[in-house]
Amino acid sequence: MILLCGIPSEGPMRRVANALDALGGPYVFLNQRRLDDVDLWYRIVQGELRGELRLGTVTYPLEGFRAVYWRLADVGQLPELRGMSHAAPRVRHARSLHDTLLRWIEIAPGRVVNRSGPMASNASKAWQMQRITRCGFKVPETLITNDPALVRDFCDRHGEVIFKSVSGNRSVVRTLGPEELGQLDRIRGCPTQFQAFVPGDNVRVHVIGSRALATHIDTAAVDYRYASRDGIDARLTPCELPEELVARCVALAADLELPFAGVDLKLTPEGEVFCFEVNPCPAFSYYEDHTEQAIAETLGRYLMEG
Amino acid sequence: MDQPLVLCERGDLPALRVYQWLRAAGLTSLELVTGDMLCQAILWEHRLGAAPASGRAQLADGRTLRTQGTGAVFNRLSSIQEASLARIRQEDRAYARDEMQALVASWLLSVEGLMLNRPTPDGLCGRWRSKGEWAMMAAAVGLRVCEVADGIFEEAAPFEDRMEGAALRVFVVAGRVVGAPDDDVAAAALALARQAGVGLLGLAFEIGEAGPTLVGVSLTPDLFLGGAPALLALRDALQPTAAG
Repeated sequence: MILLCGIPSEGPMRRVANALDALGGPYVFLNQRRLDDVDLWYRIVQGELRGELRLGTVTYPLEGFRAVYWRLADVGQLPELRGMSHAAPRVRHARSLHDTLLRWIEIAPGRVVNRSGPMASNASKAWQMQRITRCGFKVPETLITNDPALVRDFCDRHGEVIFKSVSGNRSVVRTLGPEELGQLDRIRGCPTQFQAFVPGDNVRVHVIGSRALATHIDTAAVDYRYASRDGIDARLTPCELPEELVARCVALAADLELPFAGVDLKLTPEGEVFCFEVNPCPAFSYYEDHTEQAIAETLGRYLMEG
Repeated sequence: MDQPLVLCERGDLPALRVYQWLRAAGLTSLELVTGDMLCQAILWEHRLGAAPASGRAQLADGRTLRTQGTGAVFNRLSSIQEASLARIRQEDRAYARDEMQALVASWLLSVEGLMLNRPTPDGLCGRWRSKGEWAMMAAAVGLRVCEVADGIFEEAAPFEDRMEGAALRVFVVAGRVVGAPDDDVAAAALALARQAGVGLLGLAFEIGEAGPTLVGVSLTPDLFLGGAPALLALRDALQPTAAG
């Protein structure tokens, strides 16, 4: 049995459920919108883990789950709980259930996409970059600083420079232009990440176990995720990568302990391959929408093989 | 600054006591830096790219920390506290905390030489693990482990809280095991530290008829609980010659 945890109507979740339906993979849904009637407990005795998940009137032994795919929204963002006090019983129940679920996910046997500890690597893009270089990828020249003079020197050396968050907080990647250069004093309070702009083609590689599906993104936008917001086109097409590069992406995801990962690459006109970051919780439906690549199906098969 | 370093929170009394003990025990070049000092650093510089990751931080008191050519680091800083960022506007403080934590995690990872313990993004002195995860890992390396129950509103006290009252305490300090009652426990403690990717680990046991049972694990153990052998093991690890 496969356990899906999240909001059933959310893009990636819905697609994985549909894929499992089509493949005949048995699953149950822990619907995050209906947490009031869910209970979870487990016990560990000398390395043996046993417990139960109750969904409404049906109780499942945890040891019966061979695989888990989860995408949980923040409890505070759930419409059912929005605006409620942290002390409200429904909120406390939901938070406690989340916490317990994440602790179990960390130690559950079988295939878990993904375990919560390794997913933290993306909470520091710079920390993750050091791991990326260990796997043989180039990373962009990067400076994190609160010193405007160092930034100006960095710009002089590298020409076009972008800036973005260091942490996992979502931020739009922006070019450092004359306006931002004039406001550099604002970084004194909080060090900021600057990177030499790498020209070339964006490629997103979805690694699923030992398989990889690559998507080429053709756009003039600095951050293709937000291209349409800026009125710029982004054309996504499936692409084939050299076997050696695919193997390196698979090895990188394995090194980060992420069975499912979104590896962001840039292929330069000179034939160099840069890796920017690895997304530990890819919202892959965006890529499937544009390319019809079988990401959900591949993920479904991976879960079924657990 | 190439001296050995103690990195901790301002109010971390066990770390401050260890710092004073180590200086009195001959490690006179030992420096102390707190999380507050890092957050109030005048200059941060951290570079990544084709060259090995590197950086420096200039503290408000004039000292400069460098990631290369440094001494060994005794790191008990678990996270960046929002309270250390009082100069940041309240509405921006949570974001600034995440950014500082992300920077410090990477900056510390790039420090050359010995560090007890190395950072991860979710734990600056080692990856945070639940009691259940420690219990599974400890059983896998052959330790007898107390039963762990977990569930909604039922999570037992974290393993970290069990060191003080334990009947038996074992410490792994840079590959040395202190306080183990026999070779099997020593080997298992060492294996657990290796599996967790840390050089410093405290293990708490209860003693029953069947022998010692693990009831607690800590990435930031109070080394005074291990007495002189634990403190000396740390001093040896931090000695400039040992840090290599």
